Amino acid sequence: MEAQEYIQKHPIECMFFSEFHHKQGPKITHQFPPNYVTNERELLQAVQDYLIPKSGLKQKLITVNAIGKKVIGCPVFIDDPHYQRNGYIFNFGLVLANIHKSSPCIPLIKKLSSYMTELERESYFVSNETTKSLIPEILKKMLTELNEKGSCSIPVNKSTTIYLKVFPPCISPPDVYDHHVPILTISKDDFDLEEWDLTTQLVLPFIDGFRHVKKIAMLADADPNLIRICIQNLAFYNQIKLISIFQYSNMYITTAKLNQIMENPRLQSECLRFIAKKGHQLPTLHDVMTLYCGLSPGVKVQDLCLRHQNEMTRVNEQKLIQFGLIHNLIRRIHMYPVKISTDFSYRGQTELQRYTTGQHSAEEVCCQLGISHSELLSRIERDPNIAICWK
Amino acid sequence: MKKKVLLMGKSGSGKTSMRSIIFANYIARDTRRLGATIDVEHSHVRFLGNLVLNLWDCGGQEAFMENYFASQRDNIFRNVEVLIYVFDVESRELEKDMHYYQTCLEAILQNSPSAKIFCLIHKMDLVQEDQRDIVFRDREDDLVRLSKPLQCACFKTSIWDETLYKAWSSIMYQLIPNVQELETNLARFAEIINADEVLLFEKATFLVISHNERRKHKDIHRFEKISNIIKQFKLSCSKVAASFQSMEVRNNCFAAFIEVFTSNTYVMVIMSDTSIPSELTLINIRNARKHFEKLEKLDKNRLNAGRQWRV
Repeated sequence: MEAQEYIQKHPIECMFFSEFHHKQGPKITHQFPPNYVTNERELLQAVQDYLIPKSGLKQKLITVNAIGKKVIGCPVFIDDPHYQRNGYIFNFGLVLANIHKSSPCIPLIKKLSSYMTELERESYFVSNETTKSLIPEILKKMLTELNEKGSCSIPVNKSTTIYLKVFPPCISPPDVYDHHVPILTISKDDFDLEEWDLTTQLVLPFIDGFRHVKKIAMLADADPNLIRICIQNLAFYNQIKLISIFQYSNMYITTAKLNQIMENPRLQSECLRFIAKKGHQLPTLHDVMTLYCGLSPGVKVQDLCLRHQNEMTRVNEQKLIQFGLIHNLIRRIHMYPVKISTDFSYRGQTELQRYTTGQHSAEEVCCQLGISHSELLSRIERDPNIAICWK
Repeated sequence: MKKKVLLMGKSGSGKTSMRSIIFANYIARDTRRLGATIDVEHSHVRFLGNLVLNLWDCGGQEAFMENYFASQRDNIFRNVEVLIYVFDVESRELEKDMHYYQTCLEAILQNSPSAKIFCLIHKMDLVQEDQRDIVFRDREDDLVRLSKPLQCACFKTSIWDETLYKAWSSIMYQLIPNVQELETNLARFAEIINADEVLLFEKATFLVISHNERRKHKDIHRFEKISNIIKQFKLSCSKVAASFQSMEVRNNCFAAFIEVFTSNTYVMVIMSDTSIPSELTLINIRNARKHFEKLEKLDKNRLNAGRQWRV
C-alpha cells in the first residue's frame, strides 16, 4: 500500500514537543492539536515518565501503549555547560490510536530526533526561546502534511528543511529457490530496463517463463545467490511471479478464481490471445474451459493433451499452464518423497534420502541432484523406505 | 541496619552536590559539572560497617514535587528515618519554598511522624561574612516556628567550607545505632592515655562520629575543619594512587596523631604533654584498636541477631 493511502486510513493523532525545564521539570511545551495530551490526565500520567526519562534511556526509541493510544518518542540528552543545569533534555513524539501499527512511524521519529539534535547543537534552535516559539507552527505543518500525503517537507530555517516519510507495513518478499521459474507479469515492452540495477538488466533477457533460477544463473554466468536476490527483488515489486518448472508430468488443479474467466471479458480475450497456438485460429472460450476443468489430481499435462486433442490443435499447452498460474486460476500439486521407516541410521544414507523430510518437492530434489523426473521416480521405486505424497 | 534518608528541597538548591561531596568523594569544584536530578536518585551508602543509608535524592523541579505530594506520596514519605530539607539562601521565592517545606512536613506527619528533621540553609558563601549569623538566625527562627508540632534542627552550610561537615556529622550522629557506647569507650581510652582530646572519624566520609574532650579548646568549629582538611588531603592522595594511612603533626605545644583505627574508622589523638614519645602514643592506639574492633563486631552480631526476629 502506498504511504498516502496508508496514512489516510491510519492517521497520526498528535505531534508534540516535550522538554525538561530547569525549574518546572518535565513538561509538554508544545503540541498539535493544542492541549491534546495535556487534557487527558490519565494518558499524561501514564506516559510522562517515559517522555523525559533518566539518562539510561537516552536516544532510545520508546513506545508507550496506554489508555487506547500509542505514544512514540525518542528522548535526546545533550551535555553542555552552556545550559543552566549542564544539560538539556527534550523529546519530539507523536500519538497514534493503539489499534494501528507503530512501525510505519518509527523511522520518522528517529529522523526527527536526529534533525532536532543537530539543530540544537548547531544553533540552540530548540532551547532558545525565540526559535522555540516556531515549534507549534512546525508541529502543525508536520502533522497536517504527513496525514495528507504520507510525507512532509518543512523548512525550519534558512539552511534546514525537514523531510519525513511514513513507511506502510509490507509483507516480506517470497523465498526464491533454484527450481522456481520467474515469469513476467507485465509485458516486456513495458519494462523500463534502464531504471533497474545491473543484475536485473543482465537477468531479464533470460526470463521466459520456462527457465528456472538455476538455469538462468548458469546462462547469465553469474553468482546464483545474486540471481536469487535479484529475482526476489523483482517478485517483491510484482514485476514477476514465481511458478514451477513446466513438465508434461506435472499435475494441476483449478482454483476458485477460475470463475473470473467467465465473468471478466478482458481477462477472456487476454487469455485467448496468450494461449493461442501460432499460425492457427484463435481458441474459443469453450476450449479454454474444457481444458482447465480437465485438470485434476492424477491427470498429468500429457494426459490432458492426449484426451483433448481437438482443443489442443488451437492451444499451446505450455502457455495454457503459464496463463493459469500467473492469474492464479490453477495451482500446481507437488509430489513429495517421504521417508516412512523409523530407521535412524545415518550411515549409508543415500543422497536421495536426505531430501525425504517431506519439505522438499520432487522438483527441488531433481534440481538439487541434477537428475530427471523419471530418474527420480525409478530411484524412489527402488527404495522401499520412501513413499510419495501429493499436495 | 537500613535507614531511609530523604533529601529534599527546591530545584538547584544543592542536594546532589552535597551528597556527592560527602559520600562520593567529589571535591567542591567537581560539583559544578553535575546535571539536574531526574525524579528520585537512589543510593545505598555503607556507614560504619553496621549501617546502610538508603539515600533518596529527590529532584526538586515543580513537576516532581507535585508528584511526591500526590501520586507518589506513600512511596516517598513512608518509613523515613531522617528528612534533610535544603533551602537555597539566595532564593527569591521564600513563600513558595516555605509552602513546599510545610507540605513535606504534612506528609511526614502522616507517614513517618517520628522522623528526625534537619533544615540546611545552604550556599551561605554567597552571603557576606558579617551578615551570615543574622541571616541564619532569622531563617532558623522562622523554620522552628513553622515546623511545629514537629521539631527541626537547623544548620548553615556551604560546600566551600567546613560547615557542610558539621551539618552532616550531626545528622549521621543521630543515625548511628550504638553511639553512646562508642562515646563511653572513647572517654575511657582518652583517660587511660592522658590525651587532651580524642576524635573518631568514619573512614570513607571523614565525618566526626564521636569525640571526647578532656581539655577545653576555644575553637568550637575545629571538628568540621579537621574533617574538611583531612578529607581533601585523603582525596589528593588517592589522585596520585596513594592511600592515606596516618599523619603526625607536632610542635612545641602539642602532638596530633591521625591513624587508621578499626576497619570503618580513623582516630585522632591530641597530646599536649610533648615529653611523651610518639611511639608510646602509637602503641596505645594500636592496643586500643583491638578493643574497638571487637566492639564493632559485637554490634554487627547484635544487629544481625536482632534482625532474625523481625519478619
